[in-house]
Amino acid sequence: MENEAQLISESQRGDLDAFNRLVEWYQGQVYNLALRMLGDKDLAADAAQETFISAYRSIGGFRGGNFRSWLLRIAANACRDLMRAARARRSIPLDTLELTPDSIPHSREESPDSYVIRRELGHAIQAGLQTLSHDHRLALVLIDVQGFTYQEAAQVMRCNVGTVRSRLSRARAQLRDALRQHPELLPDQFRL
Amino acid sequence: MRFLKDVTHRRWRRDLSPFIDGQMELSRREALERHLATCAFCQEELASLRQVVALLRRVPQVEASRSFALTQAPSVRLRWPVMYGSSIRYATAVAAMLLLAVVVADLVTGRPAALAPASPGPANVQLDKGSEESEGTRAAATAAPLAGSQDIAQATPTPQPLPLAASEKAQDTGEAEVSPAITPSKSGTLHNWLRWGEIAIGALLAVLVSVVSVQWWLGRRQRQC
Repeated sequence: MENEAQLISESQRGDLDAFNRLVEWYQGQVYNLALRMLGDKDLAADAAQETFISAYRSIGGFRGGNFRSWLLRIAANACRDLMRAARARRSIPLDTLELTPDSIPHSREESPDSYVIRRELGHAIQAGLQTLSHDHRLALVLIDVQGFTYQEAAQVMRCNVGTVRSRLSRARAQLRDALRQHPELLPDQFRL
Repeated sequence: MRFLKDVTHRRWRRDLSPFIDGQMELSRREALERHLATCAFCQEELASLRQVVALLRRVPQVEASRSFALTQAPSVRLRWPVMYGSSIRYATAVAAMLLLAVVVADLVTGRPAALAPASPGPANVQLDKGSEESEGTRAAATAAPLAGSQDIAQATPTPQPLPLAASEKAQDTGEAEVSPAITPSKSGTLHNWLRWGEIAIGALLAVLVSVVSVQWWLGRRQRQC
């Protein structure tokens, strides 16, 4: 993002408009992280909002470095807090997962069948992610879904690269096993 | 059979994920490649993991249900000095009163004799006597240095506490002033305790006053926001 450092500096001086420009840039990543971590769009929205409120309050303590990692660390913590609060409730079963068609971008070039397959894939992956622990899920979402490097993921997770490597390895194997147990969830061409 | 294979290949399986991402040291990567060339089980594992990674990278990005821009600046979250403000203020007041009480107790009980400067004891009296004698017999003293040194040796025993009568006698004869010798007393111990109490409570009070000051500053900053 251009001028990110300037926007951060202005935000630290209390400029709400500058901070909201940062929000507009990163809210998609924050929301998707929260959605994959929590599996529920309403909880994800709560986590995303809480993330940006916490970020505004604590941006004075940001001393430079990777702002995206800093922000997503706050998001991961917000997700953990919400998961703990919702632990008394049972995990949301797949058929109630409200990934409505409108929430997945549909380009005109994409055929309806392709769109449906993509949506079903998202459902299936989400169901598999729900079987993982918070730390394993976070490693998987950061690196394989969000495209973080190992080093960036280590910054978000506040651990070393070796730990990231280990968690990712386990998470991938567990997700594969979960998807193998329910092959009907995956579209035909993606079955393992 | 599959279980045995799992146990045997556990070490190699742990390396498959970083192998996919190119996150392995060269020597270890080469060792894994040599193993993969001869192990169908690990080849199958590797292929399935690659499929999972490919699936994850196709997971669609979902548009946010709404904008998360802030409509107004949230208030600065109070930090703990402000959260426990009233308790800290009470503690500061109690510490101040305790310090005052200890200082008053120290002043009321007064300085003990034990803290008076050390008095010249009998050795000094004898030294004075010895000096008076030497003044009268200087020639003899220089002629007999050994005798003089013996006098001095005799005149310098370990200081002993003088009985009161002796001290009064020394005063009457106009000799060197003799003040009461050092005597350990209960009041000296009490004052040591009081002194340490003053220091400890004073330090605690300084810390509490600092915290109250920070609390006041943070509260003022919050009101400005």
